[in-house]
Amino acid sequence: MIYLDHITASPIDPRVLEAMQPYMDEHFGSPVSLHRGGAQARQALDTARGQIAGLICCEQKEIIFTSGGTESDNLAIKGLAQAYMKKGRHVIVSAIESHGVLYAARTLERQGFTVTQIPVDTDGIVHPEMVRQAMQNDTILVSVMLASDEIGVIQPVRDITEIAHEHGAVMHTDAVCAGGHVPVNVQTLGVDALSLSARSMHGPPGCGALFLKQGTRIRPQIEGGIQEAGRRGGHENIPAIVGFGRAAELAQVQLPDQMIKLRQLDQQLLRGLATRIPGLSLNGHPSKRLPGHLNLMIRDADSESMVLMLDAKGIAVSIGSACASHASKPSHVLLAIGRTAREAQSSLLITMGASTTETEIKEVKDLLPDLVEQLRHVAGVAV
Amino acid sequence: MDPIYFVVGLAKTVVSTITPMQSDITLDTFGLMCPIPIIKTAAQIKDMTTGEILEVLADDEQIVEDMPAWCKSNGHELLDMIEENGEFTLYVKKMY
Repeated sequence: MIYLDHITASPIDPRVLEAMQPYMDEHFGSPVSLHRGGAQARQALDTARGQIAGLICCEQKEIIFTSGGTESDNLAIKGLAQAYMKKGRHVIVSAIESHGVLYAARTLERQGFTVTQIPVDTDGIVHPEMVRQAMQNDTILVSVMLASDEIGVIQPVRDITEIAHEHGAVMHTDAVCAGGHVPVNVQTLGVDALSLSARSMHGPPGCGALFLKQGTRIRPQIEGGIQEAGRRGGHENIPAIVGFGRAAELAQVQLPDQMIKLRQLDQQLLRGLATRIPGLSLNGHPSKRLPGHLNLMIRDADSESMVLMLDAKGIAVSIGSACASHASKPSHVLLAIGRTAREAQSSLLITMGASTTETEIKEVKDLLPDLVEQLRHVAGVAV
Repeated sequence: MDPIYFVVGLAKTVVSTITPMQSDITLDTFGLMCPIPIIKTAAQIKDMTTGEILEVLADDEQIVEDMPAWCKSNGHELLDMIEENGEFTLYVKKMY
């Protein structure tokens, strides 16, 4: 199996699994316990917090563990807006945010907030000037993702943060797809809150974190416990958190080499396919995007058919929209960059990971053009 | 919690102060529920020197009952407690 769907799910690194194992049987203690089992769990929690803080350059106490990227986004959007609602009730998000942010913002609207969605250009970039124009006296929160899961585009978050801060608003960024794949430094970005997920960096599923800058207020969304200094109730998922910490530590070490390798492979694949497949173009900015991430628009070739045909050949890829695959509706991100519904439904998402090899990429490069031709032939389309 | 007792308790303990009191350190527990504000107060007081004043910001109304009780049982002095639009500001003096 050639696995090129790393953005949807990636295997847990064996070293991560090894770190987690003792916390699933031997060290089962809870950090709230006063006995030594509790102390051990607290120690494990602190270590993981330190490893994740190291990856994004923050203080340990600025990390809040959650059940994943979606919860981190919900906590940030609802929790920050509710904490600052006395200052104002206007929130700004980009049009290509993940559903974790967009749906949380929709809930805020039902609670009486006003939400402005900032459009993106045809490359999928959010222009800081457009954020500036959308700022109002009562704007309290701005959220723009660091890297898009669907088109991989990396946003000018630092510039947008400056604008948010000039207007006294807090800034959140969803770094779920960026964390572990490109350098993420909260000091440089200047953000007040940042979402992370373990599974997007070869860690276990069901675990994430929210960086919350010291001094930033938040209203907890899961209440009823003293865990995470009262900001997120519920017993901590210690095995997963230990794995998350280890995954973050490994990602930090591997990052530079990995970025170079994946960028070379995605360039190789893109060039190869572009010369062999007429009517192929890249969705999103050609260079400001995650290494190893290709969202391709292949005119007159149905996404689902391509995915299934590739699967039959032992190659796993995703349709253009990683999240909305089951809703059978065109991706909101592809529509936002100006693709038509038909173009969006002719898009293929190829995402590479640590295990991806040049041989695998060559195989896809050799196989996909024929499949596309077959598909177009069956559909009676001449290109 | 019985709301009538709460109002009575509040009226008894809140001393209206027009100008905020001078404090050495501020602890912001906004958004955090009982017992977190008290846990954080205890940890913060531990790190301070005798005679210093801690300002605690909170929006969990439970603090109106919890802080006087904690100060009493731990021997620190609650100097003032102000409520404004559902947000509380409390001043605790470290006594030893």
